Amino acid sequence: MADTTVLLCTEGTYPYVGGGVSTWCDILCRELEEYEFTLYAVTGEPEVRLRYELPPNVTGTIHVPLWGSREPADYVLSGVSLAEHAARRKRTTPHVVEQHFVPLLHRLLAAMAADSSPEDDGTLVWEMWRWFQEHDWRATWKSRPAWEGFVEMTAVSHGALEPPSLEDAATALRWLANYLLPLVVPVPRTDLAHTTIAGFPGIAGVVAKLEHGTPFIVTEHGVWVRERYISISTGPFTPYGKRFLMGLSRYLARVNYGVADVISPVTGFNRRWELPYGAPAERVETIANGIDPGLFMPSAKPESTRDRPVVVAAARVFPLKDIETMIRAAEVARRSLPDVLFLIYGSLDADLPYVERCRALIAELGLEETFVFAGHHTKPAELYNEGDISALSSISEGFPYTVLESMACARPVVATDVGGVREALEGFGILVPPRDHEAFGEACVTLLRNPELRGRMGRQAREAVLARFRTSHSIGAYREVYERMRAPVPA
Amino acid sequence: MSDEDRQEHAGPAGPGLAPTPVAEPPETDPVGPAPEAATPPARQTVPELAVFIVEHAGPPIDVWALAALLESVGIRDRDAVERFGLPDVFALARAVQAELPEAPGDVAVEEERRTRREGLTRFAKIYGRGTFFFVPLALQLVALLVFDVSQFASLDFTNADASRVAVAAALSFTVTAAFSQALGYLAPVYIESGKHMAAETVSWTIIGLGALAAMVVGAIAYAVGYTTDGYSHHDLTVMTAYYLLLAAQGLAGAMLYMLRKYLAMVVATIISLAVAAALYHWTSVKIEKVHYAALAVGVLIELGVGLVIMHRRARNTKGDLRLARLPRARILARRALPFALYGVIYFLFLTSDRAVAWAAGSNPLPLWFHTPYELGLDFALGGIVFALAFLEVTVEDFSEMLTPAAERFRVDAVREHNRAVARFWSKQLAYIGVLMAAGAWLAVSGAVLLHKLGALGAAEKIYDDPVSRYVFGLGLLGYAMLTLGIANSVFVMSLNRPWRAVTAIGPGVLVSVVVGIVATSRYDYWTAVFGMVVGAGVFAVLSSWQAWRTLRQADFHSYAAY
Repeated sequence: MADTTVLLCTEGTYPYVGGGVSTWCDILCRELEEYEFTLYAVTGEPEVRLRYELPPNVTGTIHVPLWGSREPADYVLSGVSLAEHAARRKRTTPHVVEQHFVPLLHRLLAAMAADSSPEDDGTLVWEMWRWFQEHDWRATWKSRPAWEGFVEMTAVSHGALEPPSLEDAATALRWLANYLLPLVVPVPRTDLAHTTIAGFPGIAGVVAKLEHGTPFIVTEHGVWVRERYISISTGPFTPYGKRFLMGLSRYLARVNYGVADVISPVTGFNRRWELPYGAPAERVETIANGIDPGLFMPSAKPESTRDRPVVVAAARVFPLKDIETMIRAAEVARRSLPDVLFLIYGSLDADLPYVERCRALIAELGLEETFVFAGHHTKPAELYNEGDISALSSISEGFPYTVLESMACARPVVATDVGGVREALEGFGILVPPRDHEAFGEACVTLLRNPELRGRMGRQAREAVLARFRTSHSIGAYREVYERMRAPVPA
Repeated sequence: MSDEDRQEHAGPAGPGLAPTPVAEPPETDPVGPAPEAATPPARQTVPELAVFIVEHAGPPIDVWALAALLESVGIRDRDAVERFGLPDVFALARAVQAELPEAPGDVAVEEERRTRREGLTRFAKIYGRGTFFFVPLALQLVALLVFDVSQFASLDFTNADASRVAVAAALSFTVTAAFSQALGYLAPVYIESGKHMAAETVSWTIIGLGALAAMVVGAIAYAVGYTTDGYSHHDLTVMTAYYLLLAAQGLAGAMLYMLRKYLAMVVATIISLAVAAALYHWTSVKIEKVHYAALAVGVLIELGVGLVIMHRRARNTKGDLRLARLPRARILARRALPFALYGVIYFLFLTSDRAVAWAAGSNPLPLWFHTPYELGLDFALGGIVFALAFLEVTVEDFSEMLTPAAERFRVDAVREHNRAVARFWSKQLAYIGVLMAAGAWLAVSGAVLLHKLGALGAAEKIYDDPVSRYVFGLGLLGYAMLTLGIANSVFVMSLNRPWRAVTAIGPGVLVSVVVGIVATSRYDYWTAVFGMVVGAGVFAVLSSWQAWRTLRQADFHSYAAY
């Protein structure tokens, strides 16, 4: 029986969605078998299915869908008795909301409106959480005092900009209620809390720290606040809606960083964003991802691809992976190598319109025999060995497993120079600017035409994995952080 | 889901019943996981980059947004150094910010205006849907006039036959209204979000519960009838059979209405009427058995269509939506309760004065159908059909106006917003008033014209019998006020404040019954109509007050409704 328990907080990933972060979570739970994990999984919708067989030391899952239900009693708090829900509703009178909740709401809005603030100690989040442990979520948010308090604050705090419309305000308050749904969820007492992103699931870690004194670790693969900036800036929102959503995101990122005992990005690249958002430099410890080189071993190409120059890629087909650039790069490569084959393994379900767009581009460029979506590979550890090189065309990355896996299989990688890719790949592959299909295609040709260069880079890549990017390195670092965090603080 | 979609309404679950909003549909995360790809032109200058960013993503939120956007289109620290001579992307973002074209500010929303032709087409479509409620009823009348028989009436009926069927119909409508309303409120939430397996479960559960409730009430009514010694075994058997079949038809029809399969409902009614006519004219089967067969055929068709549609949708549900599960039954029951209650009280209202009239005096059966009274009320009801159908337009227009109104007014103009919504309400009530007046005029002149043409047939009493005339006149007044009450209920229920409608109609029905009983105990049976008039007045006054207090805070209620 494990004597140390960890609350592992995720968003849109483990255990319900595949991908790099989920792989990281799965490895962490399996390798740290002496720890007992409770998963706190924030997702969009309630309808999810397990994508991973959970190891025995994962003893519980708290599922928190932010959307898709009318009130917490429907799903998130379905274990709470109806009598308790009724009691909460009874307690949540408009008068009580006005007296106790509206001041919290005003403080939150003020904190969200601040462009920057000193390190946030999370007290406000904790106080709001305590409110929702005793009071009804819907009766609070949908109360007249909450609405009027929100409108009043919104009407005076828009700075030099036009005041928003009532529709903007209504939409914003509805968003706030849903995004802050983690505030209604009881947080179990564990020895450690570890979030995989400095966003909504981090609320559980902040509460654990302030309510139970639980040490709190933030690991970021991408930088949440940066990703929110990109999504929200390009989303279909009014200017006020964008400002509001970013205000909330910035505030939560600051709280996560401010409360965390350790911030451990998987790549040094992330520090560029984390430090300005309140992550104290002395608490930031980069821990690179690692893989099992015994699982990802080099071998000869199989019969099926032996006679062609082959580029493999492991990627879910969606815009962040910029598969369109890879398709155009394939066209560039075909000019020099007419029988070149790009084999793309990965889910085609993430963004169906995008997949259709890619297919249309393949047809338009006449690449049906050159660029193939091969779906899921039955043996992911072997897919890199089907090619001569591998490719990654993302416009944004943390520290991608696909690069390490390919390196372990002694397959040099052509990758876009984004996020932490350079930290892993420099010297063992070719880095190209993102969205530059000419450079990408040319780099593929360079490697495919030069077996000697390919072989040398591949060998060096595997050696680098063996030396620096083993699972044991990464897990060892987390184990060290866990042990340090749970150790009693010297008097 | 857009706000426009979100404010779609399930519509009334029966003729004249206040439309209910569908339960709050679940919202989805507005922030997508990944940005759309865009490629900046190569080798551009900082000002060109500024223009590109604004075109790609609109005016940036702040300099951090600019930095993130620059990175998302592939610009790295290295590019900032090599191409722009700046230390990193953040410095480049600051440089770009200084070059941003002047922000246009929050762009005012331009209302989409329909052309006159589009407006008329839309009006005709929605108003046509409103009148659809009366199509099955109209088909019954046509069948009665053409074939002497309808689904549950016949020109051969004796007064005793009519009394038995009338009681069965009134009870079945009232009992099933609760479940029709609950179905119309709960199931569309799951349908609209593509969770058809959950929709199927909730629909059949409600229909099953409705059937069970109908049977329990039927058994109790049978027992009461048996012990009160007023009805024979035959009477009770016939009444129970009609009651159960009409209840089944009510539930099956509610399902098709919820699925918006209006044509299927009409076709089922036509086939059912054809069965009735064929059996009536070509066989010697007793009239009640003709009706049983006709109703059973109609119910089976409607249930069959509903079953097939829902099952097919459930089978075709894709991916994780198949995993959708329902909240606890008591939670759903709590949500649907006010709507169900409103449905029951509404039908109680429609039938209570008739029931009081049926019960008045000493008659061959405890509840005795008085043709002059019924004719008077039915003609009066005909007079408000135009206004009732218009409620469909009111529901649609109100749903459509809420979001644009909230977009038009800023947060510092709450009072002006609420005044605009209240003005819309008054205008709709004025339209309804005009339609009621026109309907009343048409009903009166129609009766006079038909009398002059000698075409009233069995309904000639409406002209000859003073009771019919009194009841018709008073009925028109009562139904006009009832329509006003329903119109007000439309507004409060559209803003998801169903209890306000319940607390307006509840006292109305109570007053109707009490006044009706007092009047009929002192005067003639037909004075039951006074109860309806006073009760409708109470409903109209209370609902107007509820609508006014809701709409003067329309900003809050339209926020909190969803």
